[in-house]
Amino acid sequence: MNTKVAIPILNERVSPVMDNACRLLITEIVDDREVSRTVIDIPQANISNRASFLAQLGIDVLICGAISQQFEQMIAASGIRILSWYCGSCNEIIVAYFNGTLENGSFLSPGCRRQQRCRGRGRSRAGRSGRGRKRPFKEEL
Amino acid sequence: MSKHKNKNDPTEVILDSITDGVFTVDNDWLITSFNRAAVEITGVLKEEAVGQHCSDVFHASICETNCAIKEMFESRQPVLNRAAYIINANGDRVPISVSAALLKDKAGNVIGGVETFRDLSAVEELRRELSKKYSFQDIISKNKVMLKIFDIFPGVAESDSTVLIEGESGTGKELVAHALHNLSYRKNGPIVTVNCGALPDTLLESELFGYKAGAFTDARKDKPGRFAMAEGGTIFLDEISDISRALQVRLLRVIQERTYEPLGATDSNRADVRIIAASNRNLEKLVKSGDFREDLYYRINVVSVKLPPLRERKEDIPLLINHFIRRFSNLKKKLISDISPDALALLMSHDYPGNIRELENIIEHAFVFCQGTVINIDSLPENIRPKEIKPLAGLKSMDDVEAIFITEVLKRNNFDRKKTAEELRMHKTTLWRKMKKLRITTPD
Repeated sequence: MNTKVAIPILNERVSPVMDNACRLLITEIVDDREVSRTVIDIPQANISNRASFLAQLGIDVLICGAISQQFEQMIAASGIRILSWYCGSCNEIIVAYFNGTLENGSFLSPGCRRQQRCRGRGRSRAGRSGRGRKRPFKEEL
Repeated sequence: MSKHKNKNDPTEVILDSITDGVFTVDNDWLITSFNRAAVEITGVLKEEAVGQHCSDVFHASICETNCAIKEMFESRQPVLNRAAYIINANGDRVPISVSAALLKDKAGNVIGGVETFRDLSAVEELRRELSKKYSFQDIISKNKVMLKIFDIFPGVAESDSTVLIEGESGTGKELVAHALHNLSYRKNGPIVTVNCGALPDTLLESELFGYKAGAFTDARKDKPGRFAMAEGGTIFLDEISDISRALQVRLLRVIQERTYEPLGATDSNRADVRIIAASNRNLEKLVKSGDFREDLYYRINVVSVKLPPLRERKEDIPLLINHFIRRFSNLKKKLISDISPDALALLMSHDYPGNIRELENIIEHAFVFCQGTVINIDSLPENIRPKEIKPLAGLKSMDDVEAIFITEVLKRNNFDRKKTAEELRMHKTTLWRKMKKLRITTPD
């Protein structure tokens, strides 16, 4: 089973603001193994066009930093699962996502923990979804 | 600048007493101090901010491409009043202006930087109120129909084609027209709104096209019309369905030939104006009934945008409520931050015949009556609060129940029988017959 996980990237870290992030790291996982990793440019357009662009990439999960409610809802409307308000090294976040430890709080942006929206979204989603999460990620990133 | 400062530290007391957000960073961009206003604007606690990478806390639009601190470190010059927005902990975009300066020790070595930022939400809201410069970002929705409209929006704006916006009253037709104008290449030109339904026909003609001195008794000097005022920009013809057949012919000519003659003029004027028209009635039906010229309809319906009523996009109600709470908090300087779950549930169950304008008015009403920081049911207008259910004991027959029901629907529609019949999905003759049989009377 294929999973495409995307992270907006800035100097190997999660880009602070999704609304105007310039580059997107897309990692493709097939049966718990990372088979490809690409970095693409995100067009500098309004958020509607950016949401359409993301929808066309076939992404399953988007892990990002701060994101405006409006943009988040537009992306979510296209069926992409969003794990927002994360910060830190992209490599570490990808490993944590597949190890099921992303939700332990250490990658959440400052200020996010007090927000119910972050608690509800980030932790429960990461925890509830199944495939491969609790097993160690096979490929060393 | 150290994190070990105590509450009595004079520098910290001074920083906490000012209304601008201030934070300092060391040479590794890690936050070393974070004042009270910074906590309020960003929604991030000081304990959480100190020691973190500044972009992970600040979440500003300029962090990635136009960072003030980076520029200041590189140029060794202060950066002043850079416009940006931050995403606060609620996911709201907060407009700010940012300045940055170097921090040096006594020996003149750079030990970090200081960034100050000012929340411009209130200023921005007032500016928008005054200039009506609404943008695409001001249209709030996650409804699928609206998202499709958002998709075509930039293309429509750039095309310069005539646009017809259809939607019930209060669905945001004028907001869409302004947003289209502000996304188009004509954005630096004027946008002139004409409510065609608000003026009698003869007045509307001179209002649209202007007149020359001597054109009629009181015309002592030339008066430019709205088309002349909109030259190089956009004219927004609201409620276009209300114009007379005669004026429809004149308007058709303007659209076809891009020329018009002011009343009393002998020469034609060129019109470099984009036309955006709007109607709260279905123009296609009006064409079929012969009330609207078919050729004009096809001329203005080059691109059509149909805005759904609020009752068909109820998923947007919480978003819109949050938006209006933020807006009125800024405009009315009243600290209201949320709505109670039962009040929200009540607003979700309402049908909004007046659409988004009605919801906006409800929230404005709540701002007047709300005593605390959360809007509850008691602050909402009485007409949408749950009615007491009257006991059925006094009713003797189904006719009594039917009479009460029809009376309620009549009241809701301001005793307009046509609208009441439409809501009850019956012919107006049937309604009249039932009213007669049940002895229901109306105020007129």
